[in-house]
Amino acid sequence: MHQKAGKNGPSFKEDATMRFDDIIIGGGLSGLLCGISLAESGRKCLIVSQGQSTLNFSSGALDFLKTKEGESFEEALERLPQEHPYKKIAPEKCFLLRAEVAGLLDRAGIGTFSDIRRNHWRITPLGVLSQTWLSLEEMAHFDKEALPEKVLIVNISGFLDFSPSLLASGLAEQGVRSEICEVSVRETDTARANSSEFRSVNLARVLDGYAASRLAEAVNGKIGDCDFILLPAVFGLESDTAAVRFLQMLDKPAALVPTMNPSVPGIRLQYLLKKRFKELGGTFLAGDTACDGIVEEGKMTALRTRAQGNSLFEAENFVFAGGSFFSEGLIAGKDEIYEPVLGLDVDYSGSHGDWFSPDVFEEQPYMSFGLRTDADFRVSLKGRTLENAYAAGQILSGAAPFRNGCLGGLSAITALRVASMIKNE
Amino acid sequence: MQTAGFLSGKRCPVVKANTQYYNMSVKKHYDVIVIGGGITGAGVARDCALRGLKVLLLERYDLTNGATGRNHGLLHSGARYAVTDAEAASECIKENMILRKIAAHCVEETNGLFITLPEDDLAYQKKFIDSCRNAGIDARAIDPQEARRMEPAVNPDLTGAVLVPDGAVDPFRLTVYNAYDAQLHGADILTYQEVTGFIKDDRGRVRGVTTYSHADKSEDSFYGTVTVNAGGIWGTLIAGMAGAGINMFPAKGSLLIFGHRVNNVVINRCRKPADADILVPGDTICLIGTTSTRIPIEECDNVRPTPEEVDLLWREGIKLAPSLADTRIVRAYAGVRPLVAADNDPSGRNISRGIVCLDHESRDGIPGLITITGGKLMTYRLMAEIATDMVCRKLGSITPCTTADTPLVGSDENARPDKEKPAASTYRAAWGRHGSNIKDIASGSAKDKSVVCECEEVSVGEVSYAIETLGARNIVNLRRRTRLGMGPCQGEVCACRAAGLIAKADNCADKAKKDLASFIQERWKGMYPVTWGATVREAQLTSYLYQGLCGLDHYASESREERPVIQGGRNNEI
Repeated sequence: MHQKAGKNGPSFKEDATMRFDDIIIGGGLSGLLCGISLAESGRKCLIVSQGQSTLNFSSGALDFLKTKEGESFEEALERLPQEHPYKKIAPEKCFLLRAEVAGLLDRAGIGTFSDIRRNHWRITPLGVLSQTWLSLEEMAHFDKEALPEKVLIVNISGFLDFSPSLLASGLAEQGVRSEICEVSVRETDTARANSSEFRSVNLARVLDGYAASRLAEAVNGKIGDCDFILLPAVFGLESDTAAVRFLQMLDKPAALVPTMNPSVPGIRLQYLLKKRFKELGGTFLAGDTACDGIVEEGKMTALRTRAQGNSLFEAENFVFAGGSFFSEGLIAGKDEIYEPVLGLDVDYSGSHGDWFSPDVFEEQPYMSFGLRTDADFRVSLKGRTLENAYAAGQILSGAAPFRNGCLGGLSAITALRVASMIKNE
Repeated sequence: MQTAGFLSGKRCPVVKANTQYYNMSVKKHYDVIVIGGGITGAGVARDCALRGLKVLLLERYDLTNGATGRNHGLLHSGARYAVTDAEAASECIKENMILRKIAAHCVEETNGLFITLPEDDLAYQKKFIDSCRNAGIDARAIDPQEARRMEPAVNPDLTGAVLVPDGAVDPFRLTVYNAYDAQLHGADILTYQEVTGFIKDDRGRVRGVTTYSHADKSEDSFYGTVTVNAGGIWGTLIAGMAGAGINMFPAKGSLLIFGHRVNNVVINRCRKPADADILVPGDTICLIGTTSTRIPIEECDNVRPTPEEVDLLWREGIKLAPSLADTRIVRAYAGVRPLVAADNDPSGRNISRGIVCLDHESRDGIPGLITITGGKLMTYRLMAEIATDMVCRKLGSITPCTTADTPLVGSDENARPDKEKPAASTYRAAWGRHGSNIKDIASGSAKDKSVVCECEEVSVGEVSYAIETLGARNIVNLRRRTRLGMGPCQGEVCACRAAGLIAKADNCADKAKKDLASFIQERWKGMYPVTWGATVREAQLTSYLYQGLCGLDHYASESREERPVIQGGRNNEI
């Protein structure tokens, strides 16, 4: 029984059937973490990835949950409204999941800094200190009580997606003095000749090679009386060590600050997770879109994709981890919000006029729209829970990610929660 | 000739960020004070300056903030008015031909089609063509198939097509270069300087104005022999302050901007002028408009398109070019036309779209004050000529008007770039925008060549030029002077880059961040009424970038609020 014809899919013809233990729709942070967790316990997994992950705008850190001064994570979780996805996870389980995320990243060769019990601070490109829970190790992360006194802010000459002066003024609000300088090496100047392509990833490609040591020398010549160095996050695109190696070449403690998109740390995170998933035997279907599925008697049994229209992908379990609107896990029409693969039940309210707040900086209602799930993160279709189909990450309803400060963290925690639900069965 | 420092001594606006941005040579006494930095005011200032008068232009916020910056940017051939208003049509085509000559770098010669759809009466076409020809507009019917070849985006169901000399004009550039040209001829241009009252002598003659600076929150006064009120729809409030009543009928018009340049030729409907029947290409995007709704004067500072208007524009736009159905809408916005009713017609039934030039001395017994209003973007030069003629009569000057023949700075004929010579695309784009002024835009170093806005190909050199020479102080100013952030992504990436450059030039990063927050806020106000489909993706991307990644919400409460002094309501910029 077909629930829904694929939107642009080719006509259905049952050529081949491929069987997996679990199929995950979405190759971003939640899809990959879920897939790795399942694959680590020996399950055969498929990830279908359309390739529009929000990791491209990553801050290089995962925010778990904003806490008030002196408040524990448990107290902050307690305060959350009932519709928030975290409310479906017992606080002690949530504690363990946080530990599990850090461990999983470590096994994937991704060095991180986190404290299971409390937030630390990351620095935004505007110099705003923002709470976060887990930072990639090369990214600037601080205790508010232990900020550096005087920072050398270094930019690569001509790089416009990082503004030392905006960063410096934010740091000044925290009483941190700074000095600004620009450095370049032959390779970055060459890259600069193509003026429209002088962006973070192109710089990182150049700087992951031999240029790094000469750049470090140039930076070391500028340190003066500064006790800390901040640079744009344009190091370590695919290598797990290039960024840290570069920072170690500097004469003072140093760290990276995220740039405007694309986010090099985010892209590397995705790259290393994908690598880990494949090493564990996972199948990663890149650049393909899930477009249709088969549901029988309250269970999802198979999935079809746009590019592999003649193949049928069957599995024990399915995970919807396709992200929110940006990643097209959800689609907003003029009058309705829908999930494009099966037309799953979506939590949203009102009509178009109610979906948006006129103030861009208020929590936008549409940001909390998402898949309706039961206490075990199982999705539903026309009011009926699908017993083997789950949702994880930003596709879930109720997150209000900016107000609650759970961008990234929510994806990681719910992904591992869903993986554990599947494994325990 | 003065060569630098629009609105200011060179670099003054940026160096002394929060203090002031006009040069210290601003005088206290002028021949003429012009109120309003829309196209009319800028045109009047230039005309006066060209005739050797000492001019001061005062603008409440930035140039083009009113109706000037909130329209199609259509270089009317006049065809739209041919059947209903022969006089307006004939004015339009004359000015159309003049602008192509004197403002070449602000104009794009696209041509226009008036198409007949199956639901329209094809018989109207003959009357339309006859009326066009009577008005002096070169209109000719072409085969619908030929029209489709000429403009592949046009509705393929069309049953008739007429080709007319419509075009596109960038109203921002046109205004900025009129003001800049005026300044090069000795005028002083003050922006963010709101007129709060008139100074009269004991015989009731207007001798000058009192002002409030929105930049440094200070009050000031200026004296002029004649004051010209070119305040657009706000002109009625300005005249009111002097004690003169003008019967104005604010008519709101809404427009949509689409994220691609779907059409290269202006597409109109060949029928009696109605809502949403003009689709104009504008650089990298296209615009559909407009609607027309009477609104109270109090709302003029805060006009927004309604969902019904958005829906109407979208549906009607698709009839002109069906591919608009699948094209992302990037923004909806509205402006207010300054329509004037005849003095003896309080009901407003005989509203004129023609030019209205009022001598308040003979009309209201208030010597020293003139109001120039009504009219259209297309006829700004003629309006300026009429107003300046009146100014000259009052000052006893007989210097004739030369604006019909004197090119704007940047549009001189012999300054075309060598097309054979290879050049960076940003250079070509900048030439298109600034004409021969490109000689003042640095493009030699790697730094100057760096691209800030990829959609519109704006370089660091061009941004610096806009900051130093054209008086840009914030991102909105930059957008109006360079088109930075006007393309398909609406400043998603380049706004932050621009803020960084302004912070650097300005040495005031706090202001730049607040400005960035205001820019993102204003951008959203134009965006959320049209947020569905791909536009939601774009909206969410903005949130991820500016809230999630940058933490810009930290500066949200401090973001710039422009509130007029002389009336309530919140100003909104497009």
